[in-house]
Amino acid sequence: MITPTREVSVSVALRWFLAHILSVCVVLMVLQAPVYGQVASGPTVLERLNSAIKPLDARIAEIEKALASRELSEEQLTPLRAELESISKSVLERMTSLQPAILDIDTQIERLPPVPAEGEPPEAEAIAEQRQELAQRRANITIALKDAERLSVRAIGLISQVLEQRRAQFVQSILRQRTLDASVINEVVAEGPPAASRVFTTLSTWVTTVLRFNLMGVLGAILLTGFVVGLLFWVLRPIRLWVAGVRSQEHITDLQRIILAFFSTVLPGLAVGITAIALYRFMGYFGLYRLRIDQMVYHLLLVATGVSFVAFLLRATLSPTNVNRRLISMQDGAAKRLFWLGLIMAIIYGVDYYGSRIIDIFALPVSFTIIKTLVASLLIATVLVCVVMTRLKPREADEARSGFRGWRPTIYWAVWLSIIVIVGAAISGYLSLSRFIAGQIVITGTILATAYLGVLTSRAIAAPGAFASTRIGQRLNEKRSLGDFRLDQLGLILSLVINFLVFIIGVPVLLLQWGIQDDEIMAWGRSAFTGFSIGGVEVSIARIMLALGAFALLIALTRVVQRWFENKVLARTQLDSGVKNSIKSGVGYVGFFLAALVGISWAGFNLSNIALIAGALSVGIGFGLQNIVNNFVSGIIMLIERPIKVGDIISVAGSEGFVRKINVRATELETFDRQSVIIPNSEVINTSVGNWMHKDHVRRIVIPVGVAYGSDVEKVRELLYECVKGDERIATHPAPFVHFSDFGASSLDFQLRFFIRDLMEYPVVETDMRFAIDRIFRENDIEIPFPQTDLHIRSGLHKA
Amino acid sequence: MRLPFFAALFLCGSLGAAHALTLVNTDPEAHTVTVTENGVRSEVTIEPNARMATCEQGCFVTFPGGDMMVFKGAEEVVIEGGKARILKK
Repeated sequence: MITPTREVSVSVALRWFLAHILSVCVVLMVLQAPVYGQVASGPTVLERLNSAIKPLDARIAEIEKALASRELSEEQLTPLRAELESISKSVLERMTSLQPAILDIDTQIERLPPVPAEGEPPEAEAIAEQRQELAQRRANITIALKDAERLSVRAIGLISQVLEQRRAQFVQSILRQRTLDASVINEVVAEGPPAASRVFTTLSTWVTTVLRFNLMGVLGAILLTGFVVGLLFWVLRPIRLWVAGVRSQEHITDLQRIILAFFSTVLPGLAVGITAIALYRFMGYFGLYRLRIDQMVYHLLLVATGVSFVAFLLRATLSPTNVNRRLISMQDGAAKRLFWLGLIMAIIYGVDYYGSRIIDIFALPVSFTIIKTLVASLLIATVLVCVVMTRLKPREADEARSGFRGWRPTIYWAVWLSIIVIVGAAISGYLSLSRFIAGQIVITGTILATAYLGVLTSRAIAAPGAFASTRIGQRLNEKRSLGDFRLDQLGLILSLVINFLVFIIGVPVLLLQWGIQDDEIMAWGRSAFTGFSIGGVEVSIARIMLALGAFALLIALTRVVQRWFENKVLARTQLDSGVKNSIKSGVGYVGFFLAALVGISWAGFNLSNIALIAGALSVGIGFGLQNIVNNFVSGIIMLIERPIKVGDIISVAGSEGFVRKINVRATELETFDRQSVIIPNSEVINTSVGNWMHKDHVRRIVIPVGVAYGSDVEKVRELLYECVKGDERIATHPAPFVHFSDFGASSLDFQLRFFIRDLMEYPVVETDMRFAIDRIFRENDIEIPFPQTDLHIRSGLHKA
Repeated sequence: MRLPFFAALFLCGSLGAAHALTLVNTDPEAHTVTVTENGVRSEVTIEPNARMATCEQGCFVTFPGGDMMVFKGAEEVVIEGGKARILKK
């Protein structure tokens, strides 16, 4: 059933799309045609443009006048900004249609023969005339453009006036003084019952009509909203399960506590909000609204959502029933009390807000507003007094006996101050101010508390080892084996991101509360994103982000290419590991260099400026950085020439060991004693380096051995050959050789010389050979003598 | 190999997106032009033999000779002998 409908709708959409594209093309062609057609007669295009600009000009003048009179209301001022911006934009857009004409004139001027220099014969009259005519036309265009430019500057300049007036009106509205006297009370008493009956009648007629005539609509709205609720339950199931799991745990970590609070505030809040929106929309969809009812429903849902969000927030942060999950440390009684007080305050504010809306909707007299605001402000002040009188810590725990009942002094005094201001303003007639402050305590307090939750989360994630202990951290560790250090770094980045998000979302929401309009905030955001200039340098967050992103991406891409090269291409070649390493490092350096270049140029820095700086620095490099540059260049030479490679056993500058790493500046050597020696690359290039593994891994071993005088030397030779025979580790070519080296002082000295295939086995083979020689000599009764000295004592020589 | 693919796609996309009015000065002396973008005038100096991106959303430009031009924001303009010339895209 569904597929054909979808196909139909797709084809309809496609047709619609094509038809629109076609019509847009046709319109564009029609629009473009006269411009090209009338290039030769420039003034007509100009005239047409001028007549198009004229109404805009008139509109700007009108706005200027209206602003100067300072009589525009808030509702009239709000759309002006967007209008002024669009005027400035459309002026520019219209003027761009002059571009072909300008190009045409410029090419025509270029085609004219050059102006004759002084002393040369003057040019033909016709050409001079043409030149003058072209110049005139160009000048006319410039004049039109200047006018247009001035217009756009004027339009943008007016925006600041609009903003200034809006701000002034906001302040004025807050500081309006209303007198509370007997007439107000009399009016409320007199008008109260009829007003109430009007509201009640409206509601009851609505309910009865809807129930009688549109019962299906009511059912439909309820059913569909129920469906949305079910969907939300299903979508949020994993998180609900997680929350339930953590809640059932006996011990929870700091991070878990905060994330729990965050989730159990934001998610239910979001769910309630979505449900409210769905209900509102579905009621409209089923035609349940009558006159004024949709406004009443809308604001009721708004208040309900707000109050329930505050309730979730209070429950999450204060956790009145469970001390383990409490984010702010206080005693149980205090948590319970603050929870209820906070909720009552939110409800008072919500009712007050809804009352204002009802007064607006039914156009009730101002006296209602005065009484309602007064009551709400005084109630909120009373609740605030109860809040600040709550003892957070038991009397015994408050060692300092500070008198603040466990509150921070700043908060304590701020709350008292706001209570005094609310009550004072209400009594002295500044009801709007009183209501504004009372409302801000509820709204701003809620926003700040939510933002604080975010900040706490980021702080907890940044704590050492916190991120690694989370489920995501553990999974990352399993999949990518990042290790604790990397996970900690990731946690740090995550905490930065969270802070950034809190800032990006929280600040505009707060500003909205404090009388700054949403379109202003959007405009700030836009200008921050698309660029503003500081001292002639264009700074734009979007560009910097783009540059950073491009840099990171190119680096990542380089790594991927490197890995692919290593695993797929180089692994199949017969190249030795050193060459592979060189190619890999080379690819890495090139990638880094490219990424840096792309990043720098995308960030808006001029590469020629950087060249300038580099030029100035080169003198410094010549002196100060000489060594480092020398080492760097040596590193590159080493990559190309490859006198040593990773894994080689080399001896350089008095150290011998394995090459572990060849870096840009230095080479890391690990001696056989496991000491790491960092040798500057220039040392490796400039001094003589012994490399045991440069060409092959063959190494010669010489084992000197002496036998006693009188032994059968032929047999000794045979036996020694026998020792090396058949050992696979010993090379057959060059063949082992027994060298009769000396008639020694106490022995006949032999040397067994042979080559081993792999020099890494040098100590093992040497030891094995010595064991073998000792064994075979013992079996064949050949004595290995120790040095002995015959001492002859000659006596009686001096007898004579 | 999904990551590099998307990375390449993003790069291509953003390369296409990053365009602005480019002024190129081929003269041996620096030129100062007045750029009015979005109703805000600013003076821009282009060093000799340098290129420079100025406005992105369209702008009016007053050149040293007093000539004025209007741009959509993606053109490339060469200043040669003090005169501006639009290079065809």
